[in-house]
Amino acid sequence: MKTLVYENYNKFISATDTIRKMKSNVESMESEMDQLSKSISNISNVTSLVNDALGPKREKIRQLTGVHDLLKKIQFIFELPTRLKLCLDQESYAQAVRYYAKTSRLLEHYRSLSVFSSIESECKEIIDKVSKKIRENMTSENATGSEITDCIVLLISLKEPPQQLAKEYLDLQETVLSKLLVATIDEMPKIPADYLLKSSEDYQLTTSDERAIIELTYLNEKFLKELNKFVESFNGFFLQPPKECRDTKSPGKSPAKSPKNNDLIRYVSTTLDVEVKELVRKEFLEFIGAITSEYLTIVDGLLEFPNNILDFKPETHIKLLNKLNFAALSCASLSSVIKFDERIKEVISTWETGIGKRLFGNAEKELIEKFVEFSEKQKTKVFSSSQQRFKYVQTFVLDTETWLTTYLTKDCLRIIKECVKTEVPMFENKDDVEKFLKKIQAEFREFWYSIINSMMKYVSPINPYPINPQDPPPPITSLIMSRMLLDFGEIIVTQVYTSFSDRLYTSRDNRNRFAIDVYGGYGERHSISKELAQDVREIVGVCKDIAQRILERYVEIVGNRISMNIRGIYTMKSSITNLTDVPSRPTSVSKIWNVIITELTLIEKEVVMLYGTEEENNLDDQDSNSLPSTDQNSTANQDNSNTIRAPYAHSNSSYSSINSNRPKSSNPFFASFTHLTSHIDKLFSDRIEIFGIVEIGKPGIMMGVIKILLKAWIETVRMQTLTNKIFQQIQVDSEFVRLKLWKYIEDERILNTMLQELASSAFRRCAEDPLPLENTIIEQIAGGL
Amino acid sequence: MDNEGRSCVYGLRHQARCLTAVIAETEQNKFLVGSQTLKRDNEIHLINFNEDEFEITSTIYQHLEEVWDIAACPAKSDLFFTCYKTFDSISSRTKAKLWRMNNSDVISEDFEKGSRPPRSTSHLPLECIFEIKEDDTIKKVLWDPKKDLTKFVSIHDSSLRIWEFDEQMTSAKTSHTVDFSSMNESLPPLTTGVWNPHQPEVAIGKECYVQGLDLRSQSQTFNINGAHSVLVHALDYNPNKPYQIASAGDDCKIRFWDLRNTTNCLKQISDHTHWVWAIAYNRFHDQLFLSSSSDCQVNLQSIVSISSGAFQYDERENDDGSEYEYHDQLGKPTDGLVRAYDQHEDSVYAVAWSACDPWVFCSLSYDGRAVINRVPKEEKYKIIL
Repeated sequence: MKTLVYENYNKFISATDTIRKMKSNVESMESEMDQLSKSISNISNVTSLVNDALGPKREKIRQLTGVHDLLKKIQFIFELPTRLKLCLDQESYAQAVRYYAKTSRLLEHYRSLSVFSSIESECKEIIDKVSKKIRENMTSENATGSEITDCIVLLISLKEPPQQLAKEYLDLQETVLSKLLVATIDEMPKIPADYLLKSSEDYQLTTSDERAIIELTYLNEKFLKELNKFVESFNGFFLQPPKECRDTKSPGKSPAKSPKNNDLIRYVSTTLDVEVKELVRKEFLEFIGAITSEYLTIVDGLLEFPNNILDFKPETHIKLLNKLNFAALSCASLSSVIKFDERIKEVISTWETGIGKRLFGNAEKELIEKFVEFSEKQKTKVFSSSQQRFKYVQTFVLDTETWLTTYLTKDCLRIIKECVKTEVPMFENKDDVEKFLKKIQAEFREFWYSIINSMMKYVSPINPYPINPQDPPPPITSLIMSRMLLDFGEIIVTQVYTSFSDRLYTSRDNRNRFAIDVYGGYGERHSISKELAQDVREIVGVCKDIAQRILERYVEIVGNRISMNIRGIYTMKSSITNLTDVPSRPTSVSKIWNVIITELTLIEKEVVMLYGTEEENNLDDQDSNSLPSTDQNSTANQDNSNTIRAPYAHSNSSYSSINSNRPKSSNPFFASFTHLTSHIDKLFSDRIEIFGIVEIGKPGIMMGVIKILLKAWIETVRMQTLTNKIFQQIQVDSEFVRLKLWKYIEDERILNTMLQELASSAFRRCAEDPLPLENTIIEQIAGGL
Repeated sequence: MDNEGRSCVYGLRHQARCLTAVIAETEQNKFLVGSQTLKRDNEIHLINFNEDEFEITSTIYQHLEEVWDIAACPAKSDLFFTCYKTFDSISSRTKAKLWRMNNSDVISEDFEKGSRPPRSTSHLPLECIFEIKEDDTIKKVLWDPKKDLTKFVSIHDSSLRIWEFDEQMTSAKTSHTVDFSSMNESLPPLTTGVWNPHQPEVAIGKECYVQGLDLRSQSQTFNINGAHSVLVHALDYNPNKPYQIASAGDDCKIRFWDLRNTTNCLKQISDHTHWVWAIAYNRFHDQLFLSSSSDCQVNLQSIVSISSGAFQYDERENDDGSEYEYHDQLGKPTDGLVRAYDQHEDSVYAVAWSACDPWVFCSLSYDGRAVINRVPKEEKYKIIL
């Protein structure tokens, strides 16, 4: 404590000093404050005295100012007639109307006073003249749209009957706008190329050949703007008076605020009865709708695709569409009245669909044309050798497939890519691009279906025949189509879609590209974006399906054609002529069977050429990086001679081996003839479907044709009544057929069953006691000895 | 006993390709089948299907020659034509005879006894009324479906003849001949013919076309060129709807035509896998349609959309309420294959509806098996309810 006091001693001393000083100061302050308050009260007293003295004078001044204002106004009214007259003389009708609009209410109000009524009547007279003049101006032929609008504004201010005005306005604008449109269209081709340079548009267009853009700009500037203006003003005047218009309508306020006509428009409006309004609206919309349609027709004309779609430059069109988009945005009132923006959107979407349609439609058209041309050539062209013909067919298949792939992946893809790439506001939005691609995708899908359908239609039979029947395409066309569709299904579709997917879908969002693996016909893997994968699978399926059906059609045509040959043989009539000078048993195979076998060989060649044999297919499985047809056809070329020869050797050997197994009868069917056996056999053999599913590949196709042929043979024999000789002839023919058909067939059971059926049918239809020939004799004859 | 889904089989022990319902017999389900063998005497089997007993009884008549076609008289149940083939060593001839079955009393006696054998073993004789043998190529005889017994039509390889009976029906003479042979010789003969039940018109099939012929003026009424891609084999007029005809042929298709506009067919059915040999509209419910083919199948089709019943079902759709719901449950009849019958082991060349019960039909395959089937119950209820 001691140390604490000692240390702070100095501070205690100074504190004591300060307190003493404060005490002395406060004593003098109190007296000073009293003096101050006294002085202030004195000042306030004096002030109130002065104020009281000046009060009355101020009131007087205020009154005098009011009177002055009133006098000024009255003077204005008194001067009004002269002013109006002056305006009339100077043709400044707008000024006149403004003056009148200002005062008309006032005049009306004070009409009871004679002075005012005389002024009013005087004014009215002049205003009538003015309105007459305005009308004159308005209806004059040279009046432009905006002039007319101005006049209408004035007339509305003059309180002319609005319904009549609306009608007049509409009529006038109708003629003006229609005229304008026609004039603009006339002028469009004559616009100088540098028109755009003058315009304020900020597009840099340097090429002179983009006339369409120039023309559209011109059209929009000249016509669309006018139209929009008209719609805006008409709407404002007659159809939807907004609230604030009413407020500002009282004279003296609105005109004062809006010294310019343009502003005036905003504040002028009329009130129409609801019914009348509807009537006016209807007429108005009718006209607007019609003229907009005309406008859009011109736009459509500008958006025409070139005849050769490959010359098409999407950039130009995209710019056009962009402009349209802008126009739609700038024409707000047009949009609100008739949904102009939506119609423009519609135009754009039609264009988007159109581009897909044109691109792919073109491909389809050319493809079918190729087929038609090919079919014609097949009919007329003479080939020096079958080899040459086959080569021709193979080249056709190869060329067509390559052409289609190139067209789709190069040309079409290029154009679509350009569309998407062009960096314009229309495609700025990702959704828009997506929408566009969706449309293209849909069209593409449509395209495959359409191709498939046209192919199907091309080869399908026409029943009944049209009045001017065209020759049906040769059967080989169906075989080719079937092969091609199979190739489509196996690889081409997947390939084309892969490149579409690579080029159109990757560049954007990576996370969108759920690469879905699609396996092609040969086991290779393609990654295709999610959006397309579904389509690919579907189309591949359909292609294969239709390939199958067209193949069945081919088998049907060929089978029926071959079967026609047997129709007439074995009748008694035909045998009589042969019979008279010929020994009583057949000496050779019926000629017709040689013909049939030759035809079958030709068919086999066709089939091998397009479908290859089993071994070749295996080859294809191994190397399938490029188009399968390329490999296949080249291998087919090389192997043709080998593969055709090989089965011969094979069949001969197997035939002989079977022969040795059954030493007693090479043709067992004619040996046993009891009904019972054939019935029992039938119970155990499967039912054979004749015109049914054909397995793709050579054996399946040949089997299909052969089944049709044999069944027709059986049915034909059943319709006949046979002599013993014809019966023996059938025995010989049957053996011959068996020898010849062996090599085409994998499952000989079907062949055997059918030939057995034939044998038993022939046996039963033989009117005499059938005397079957010895097997050795049959073999001799059938073997061509 | 519920025999739903069962079928009744009758074996002829001969091959056979022709079958007809006894059209004038409306009390019993009777069919006539003619056999076709070269080595033995042939027979005509009068098959009687008793639905209650679910049993077939038959009467067999002698008929020496093989029968290629058989046509029962629409008015008298004991009369029928057969077309048959005779042959010698160098040629064959086809002729036709009008027959009378004299022993209807015998059958009824059999019935009364109750202990009759399932198949009468005795071969009864037929009474031949007269024979037609003009030009030896007769294919088919057509009765007037209007049951007018003054005329009939015969179809030959290359001509069509109109005949008139004398008053007692004991003979007939040709009144008109329409020749088709003027065309290309190599063309195949006429294949089939059918008499229009609505007007005196006969439709014939030849090669790929179907032609109509007015019997009064012998002029062509319609011509469907290329009705089928290969031969036309069978024709039938819709019994309830004028101007509709069905055709079938070697292209495995059945097509339906409106004769007023034949540029397109009304409908096409391709459920068979080989030539279609016979087709038949149900005489009462023309939405039921039979076809038989050499693929050994008989198909029962529903063709309600183009039948005379189509309108009726359209109307029903507009009805609402309980009735509609009920039909909804049952399902309305729709187009499509009702059932495929595969009891045959050989080509089925003929099929016919019973003249008595509209739900009974018979099909005949080449191996001599006649099978009697009934329309499945569900389909039947769809139609009548």
